[in-house]
Amino acid sequence: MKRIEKITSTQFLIIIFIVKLFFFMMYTPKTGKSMESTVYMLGQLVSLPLLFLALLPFYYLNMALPGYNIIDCGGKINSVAGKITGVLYYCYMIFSVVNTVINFDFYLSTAVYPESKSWIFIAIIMLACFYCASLGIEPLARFSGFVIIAIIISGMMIFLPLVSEMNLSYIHMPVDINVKDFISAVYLGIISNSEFILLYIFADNVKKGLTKGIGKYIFIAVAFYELVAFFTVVIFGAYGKTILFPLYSLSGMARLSILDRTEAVHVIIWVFVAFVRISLFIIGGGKILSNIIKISFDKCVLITSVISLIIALPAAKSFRILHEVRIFMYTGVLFMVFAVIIPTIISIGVKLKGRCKN
Amino acid sequence: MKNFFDKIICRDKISAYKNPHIKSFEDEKINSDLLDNLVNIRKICSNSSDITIQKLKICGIECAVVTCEGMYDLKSTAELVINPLTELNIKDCKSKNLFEYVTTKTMLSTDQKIFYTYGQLFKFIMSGFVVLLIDGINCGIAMGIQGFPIRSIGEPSSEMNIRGSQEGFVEALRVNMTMIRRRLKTPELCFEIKTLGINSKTDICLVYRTDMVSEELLNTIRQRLENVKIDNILESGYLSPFLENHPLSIFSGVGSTERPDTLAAKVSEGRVGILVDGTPFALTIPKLFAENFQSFDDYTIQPFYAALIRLLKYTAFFISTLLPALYVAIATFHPELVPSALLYNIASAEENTPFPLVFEAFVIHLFYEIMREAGLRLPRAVGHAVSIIGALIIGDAAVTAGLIGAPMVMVVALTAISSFVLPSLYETIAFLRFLFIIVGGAFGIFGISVVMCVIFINLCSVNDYGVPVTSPLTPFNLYSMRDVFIRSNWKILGKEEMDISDMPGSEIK
Repeated sequence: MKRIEKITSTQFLIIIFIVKLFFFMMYTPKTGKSMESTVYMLGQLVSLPLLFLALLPFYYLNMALPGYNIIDCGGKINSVAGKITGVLYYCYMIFSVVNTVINFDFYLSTAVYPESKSWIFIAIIMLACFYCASLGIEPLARFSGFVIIAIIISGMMIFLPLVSEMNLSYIHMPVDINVKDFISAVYLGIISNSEFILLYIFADNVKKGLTKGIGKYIFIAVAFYELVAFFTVVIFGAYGKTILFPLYSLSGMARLSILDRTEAVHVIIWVFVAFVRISLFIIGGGKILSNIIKISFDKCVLITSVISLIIALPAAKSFRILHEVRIFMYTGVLFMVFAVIIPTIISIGVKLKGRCKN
Repeated sequence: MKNFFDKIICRDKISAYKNPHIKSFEDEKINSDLLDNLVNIRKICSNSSDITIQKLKICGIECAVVTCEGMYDLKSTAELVINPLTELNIKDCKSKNLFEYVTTKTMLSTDQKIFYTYGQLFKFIMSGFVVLLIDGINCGIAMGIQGFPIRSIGEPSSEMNIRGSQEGFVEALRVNMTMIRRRLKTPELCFEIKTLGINSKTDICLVYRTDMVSEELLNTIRQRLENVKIDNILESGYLSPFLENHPLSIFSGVGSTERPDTLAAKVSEGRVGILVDGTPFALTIPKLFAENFQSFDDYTIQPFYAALIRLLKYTAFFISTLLPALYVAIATFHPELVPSALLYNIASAEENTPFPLVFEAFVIHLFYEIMREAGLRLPRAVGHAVSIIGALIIGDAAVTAGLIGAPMVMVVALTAISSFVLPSLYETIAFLRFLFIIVGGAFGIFGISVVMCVIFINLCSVNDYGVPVTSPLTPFNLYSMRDVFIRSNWKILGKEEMDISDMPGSEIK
């Protein structure tokens, strides 16, 4: 039985901001390509209007079928389309859970606990996230309210002490901007917003006002990205391109009163963010599975968690898999398929169905 | 799976445990033969010595006065009931006439009730009523002339205040009701008495304001109380699991208070209070988490100081819950986070101790809890000796003997003092402290963070009666925050009455 809980649009946008933050906290100005960080920062700004364009299918579906998620929209066309859409998005949810877990484990076992075994972190976080997911999206939305406050406070604790360490000479406009690099930066700016896929999954769980809130969210998200990029550049300069976890390194440099280093703050926030992200994807997966095979939400959450755990445990041991996944993520295939192409197809299908009825 | 476990539990159940059941005499009707009634009464109570039956003739009609010794006021009974009735002179009096006279033409007591069953008879006499049975009448008359000794109103033991009333609830329900009525002199204040407990037949009273309370909330509470089927209700805590949606949650959506002024304030916010006869602790529903950090004193002192105290309480909560765990986690897994001067001190103190830090922390806090529990149960004359022994064992002797480090003693002391700032959360804090110590010692800051996530989610899931317990922190509402971390001036607070059904995220109308 589908559990339909309603949260406000503000709560939902906070959740997806936290979901996005996961990769911010693993942010590297250079994502496997050799380009100037400032070019990348410019690319983010230019990608803003294009992001709105990419969300057109969402706006249309929200107008045509308000309160329907993408699977229900597919089901409106015909039941087979609904099932196929459900299966595809479910696979995306499982992929996202596994990807998050293995990245989370990679960070902890590399930067924080270098001598620990991976499976402990994975098992513990999956168990905790399973418990959270079984309670539904409402408690997670309320918890995210606490997390965002913690993020703001920790952000101040990390960035404010670094103001005195800034070297603004590291910021410079490149004399000649490589067009290919710039387009690449703009493209990366668009496809690094895979959290928009969640808008389609959870549209029926959100009360009114989501479409208006998305605009503000996009501006805030880009502004936050620019802030992190700015600090990474002005503190580390060119060296920042080679650091694996620049934000963690920034927190290591931030001295606050008696605290010589604020890495503990970063670790705590990282765990909170990963917890919210993994739980949300498990909830999404459970919801979609419940829609497809018509069993209770709690059982679907359990199935989703178990599947993700079974895949994540061996995947976490292989750095190659992690690297391949990251490269695959940066091709933008997932964003394009799940946030643009499939919604566009379904929008067209809904439009045609509407016309046929008329 | 659930049925499987239920079967195993039932198979192991022994005959010592029986399901509560309603006794056969409860609904048995009183008949018109007085002698028969008296024989039945003696039989049902097995001739208990405290049930007294006094036969008398009133206007030539056989009657009986049934009481429970020590429960009624002897002098008032003689003055108000026995003397007037024995001096009564009605010509050609029949049973019906006498009954009619007692029930309609005179008032022997302001609290007079008619009853028809033995169950009701025993409930009345055991509540201090004087019961009159008349031969030829198949019902009885109960007159409220209670005279059992009750504790005098004194300072509440669990909620001390500097300013504000020094009155706390007592065990007698009616006295508690008057204390609330004196504080809310409005006809909208309503008391609704129910009887719960199959054997104890405890009177409980719902307290609410008809102009503020949500009907939906009230009906839900009534329904849940109807489902309470236990033998004895001796304390308000017995009712809490029946009133909560998440009995397994560490945090409760049902609050308790010993202060009538606090209950009056909460009832004025649209909440429902539950008074239970025999206990000075009343329940308040629904409860928000932020209320644990509020006290009555906050509303009587200057707002800036009230704000400071509130922030202090929030800090005390985190210190009492997390300090030992953070100390263990950082010292064990993340020593680089500690400033070097402090790190050297901690290292030198812990260098010679034989046990791991997590073991030290766990054992010391366990000893502290044992001593605290002992201090609660010991006679007062001996109680101060416990603190001396505690100081010697934990403080001086253990450190001198090299069993624990001095920093650990500081941590324990700070934690203990901080936990007393929030008496309503003491049990939760104590449980979480031990949990975090184990997790911090095993997994460091990662473990503490994950458990914090789980605990917060557990808190956020409590949504009893449609009001999120984390409101107004999350879902956030800036206007409602005027009484959370700070306490706004009464000129601002007093402008509008807070209504619990209007809290952000509330689903009750």
